[in-house]
This record gives sequence, C-alpha cells and structure tokens, in this order.
Amino acid sequence: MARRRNSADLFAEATATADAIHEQDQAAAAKSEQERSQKTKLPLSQIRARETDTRPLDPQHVTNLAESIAALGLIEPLVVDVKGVLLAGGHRLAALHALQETNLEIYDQQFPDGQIQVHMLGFDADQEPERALQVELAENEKRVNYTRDQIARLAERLRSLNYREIRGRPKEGEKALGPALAVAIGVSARYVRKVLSEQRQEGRDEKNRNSVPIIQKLRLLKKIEAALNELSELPESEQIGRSERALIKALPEFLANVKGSVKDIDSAVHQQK
Amino acid sequence: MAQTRIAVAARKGGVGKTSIACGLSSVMASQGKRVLVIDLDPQSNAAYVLGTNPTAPGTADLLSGGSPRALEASPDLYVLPGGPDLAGHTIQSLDPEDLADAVTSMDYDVLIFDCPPGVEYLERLGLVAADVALICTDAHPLAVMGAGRVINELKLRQQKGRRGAKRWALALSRIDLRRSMDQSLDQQLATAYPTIDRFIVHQDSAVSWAGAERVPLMKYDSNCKAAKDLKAIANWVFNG
Repeated sequence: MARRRNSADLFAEATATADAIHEQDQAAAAKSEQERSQKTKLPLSQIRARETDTRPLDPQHVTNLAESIAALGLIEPLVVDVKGVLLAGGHRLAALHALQETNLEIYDQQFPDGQIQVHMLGFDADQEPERALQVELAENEKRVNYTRDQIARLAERLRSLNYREIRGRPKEGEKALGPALAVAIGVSARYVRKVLSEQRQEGRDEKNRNSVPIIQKLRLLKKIEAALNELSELPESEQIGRSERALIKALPEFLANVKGSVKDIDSAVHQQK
Repeated sequence: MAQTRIAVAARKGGVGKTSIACGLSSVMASQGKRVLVIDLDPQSNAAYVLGTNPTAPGTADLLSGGSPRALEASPDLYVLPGGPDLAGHTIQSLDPEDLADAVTSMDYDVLIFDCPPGVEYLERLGLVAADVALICTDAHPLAVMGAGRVINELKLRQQKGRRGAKRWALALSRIDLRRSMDQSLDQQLATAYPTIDRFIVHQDSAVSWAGAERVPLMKYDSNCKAAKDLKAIANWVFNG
C-alpha cells in the first residue's frame, strides 16, 4: 500500500481544483444562458414580419401550405432573429395567419399552447440587414427559381446595401454586386450579368418606344378621334358662326380620315412586330 | 416578519443536502416557524424523507406556472416534491430568476430549497431565489471540490451584483472526529475560506433513521446530536 498523504494536502488539492474548474463552470453557465435566450417556440403574435420581401407572396402557395399545416403541423420551423423578426418563411407565416383566421379549431389543435416552432438565429436583423438578407436568400435558394424581375429587385436591394457593379477585382471596401447575387440565388455570375444588362437594355427600349415618331403619331390621332367623337355628341348651340358651321360640315369626312389613318398606322406597327 | 429563504447546495451528491435541508426544516418548524421545503431534485427525496408523497405535483408544476398544493409533513412543516419533470426541457429553459419570482408571494416564514447534485441549472434556481445559502460538504476531497464550486459561483454572482444569496456558510456533514480526515476538514476549510462561517453537523444515526422511517427529525428524536447542531445553524440563519 502506498504511504498515506497528509489529509490537509488532499483537501488543498480539492479546493485548488474547485477554483480551476470555476472557469469552465462560468463558460457553461454563459453558454446555457445564451441557449436559453434562443427560444425554440414563440407565440404567433410575437413573430414579426420583415419589412421587405425579396418577392411577393404567391397566394396559391400560401393556400397549399395552410392545408399542409392543418394536416401535418409546421414541419419546418420559421427562422427568426433575436427579436422574433422573420428571416425566412414568409409563405409559412402567411399560411399560419390564414389558418388561424379560417379554421381556428384546427389551428388550436396543431398549436395547443399557441406556440409556433422557430429557429432563432443569434443576431438582430436591424443591426445586420445584410446578414438577414443572406438568410432569407439562402432559405429560398434552389426552391422556386427567381424571375428576371425578382433578380432585378434583389439587385436593387443589394445596391442599397452598398454593393456595386464593378469591373474586375473589387477594391478594398467595395462589394461586388454580381458575384454576391449569383452566390445568393445559386446561379452563375454570368447569368446574373446577362439578366442585369438585359434589364438595362429593356429600360432603354421602353424609352425609345415612346419616342418612335410613328407611335407618337398614332397616340395623337387616337386622342383627336376621341375628342371629335366627344365634340359631335354635344348638344347643338342656337347661334353658330360661319367657321363653326363649316367645321360641322367637314367633321364627318375629317373623322373618317382620322379613323382611317389610325387603322393604317396600327396595321403598319403590327407588321413591324 | 420577512420571509427567510435558504438554499441548501453542495454540487456533489450524497453529502447530506437533503438530510440537512429536511432536518433544518423540522428544527425551524418546531421553533414555531411556518416552513416550506421546495425540492429541486429530480430524485424527489425530500418529500419521501418527510413522510409525504414524493410523486405528487410539486416544484416542476410551480415552475411551469401552476400552483401545486404543498404537502403537510407535520404542523407548520410543508413540502413541494421534486421529481423527474424537473429535468424537462421547459424547466431547463427557464430564467435563473424564475423560481425567485414564483415564490415571492408564498405565505411561509421560511422557504428551504433542497438543491440537486450536479444539475447546475436547477441548483442555480435555488441559489438565486435564496437570501442565505448553506453549502454542504463531508470530509472527502470530492465533496470539498463540489462545495468550492458552489462558493465560487455565489461569490461571482455577488461581485456582479446579481440577485441571489447574500451570505453563506459551510455545513460540514456527518463529522466523526475520531477519523483523521474529519479532524483536518474544518482546519482546511478555515484556511481556504477564512471569511466563511462553518458549522459541524455530527455523524448521527438518528438522521438516517428518521429519513428511512420517513419521520421529521424533531419528531423522531428532538434531543439527538444532529438536532442540536442544526439548531446552531438555525440561529445563524435568523440572527446572523
């Protein structure tokens, strides 16, 4: 048998260990405190909608989801920030509200304590809007493809977060819009560039269309036709001058010519297309 | 009179927390105080030891927002049982101050929180709800280590100005001065924690028999050695 050590030493070792382990105790307490604040359930009323959606909700999708939630409950929790602001799950949130409104009984069955499952991410969307946007996009990635218009609107939001369309390697402090958007929605940077440049092109086309002389003429002739029709429907006044009499006489033929011109130009424009 | 709230903790298991908590509750009830033992241990031993039903709704129910009826063990001595529900997810995600808030309006002179071994979030509920803490240790280095961790936590809370026990003492349990470890325990604690009061609760078979027979200590043997030791602790609690 080993020689017994003095018990005072044994106790001293124990108190020293208690001090050494204190740091770990603190770290564990801090961690559990943090996890505690990250709730896994929230009342529906405490889940706040985000201010901007990257795309409008699809009502049909909301209806389908509401049916699914009625039957199966909420399968995927909503993603929220520390204040309960929605980061991802706009359709699901809308579907929950719809279900609560249209079928409270089933809603109560699915959520008996009024609590909705959430996945709370440890940041504040107000403080970190860029991160919030990334979460929203990451969640939508590879689901429904983004339309060109939606991509254009996303580009607009990224521009408001200081992303710029830059040629070549971005300088320090600059954020390149194209690559960021491409990564976010899971398409190639080339595709994003193409969509954005087409969008710009279309913008110009729009402007040109109105400035094409033939279209301008068509628009004016249609205006004249409408005005003349209106004029001829007015009740006749009792005293009319010579000029006016001549005008009334000439009006039917003039109107017919205007109509004929409109027709001609219309068919010409259609042929162009 | 203001309510006195005592947490009995050790971190280590099997060092006499429940025996001291229940013994002390019996002593205080015999002094004419209206006492409630709130068991924070999923093993639910306190209600058993005091001769009541350990499976009745208790502390977990209270912490979940319910108002469970306290079980009467003897005149002026009541208990809220612990139980496995304390290990549930809802209790784990409570704020450390939730127990403190839940007991503020309770109509008792003394509340005694019997903290569990190991489960720190439950122990913390008790330490935060209490204004006095008793830290139990027996004469073994592992128990001393557990007590040291509780003391460090209490100190830290106090330094940070957080809610919780404002003063605390060490309760040296099951002490038999014929054993060399037991002899040196008191001296060692005095060296390591010179500013903390220490109380010796002697090894006393009356305590284990009272628990086994499920009778409050003062009813079992009001003149036993441990009862005398616990009276000294009660005196410290009430009179500093």
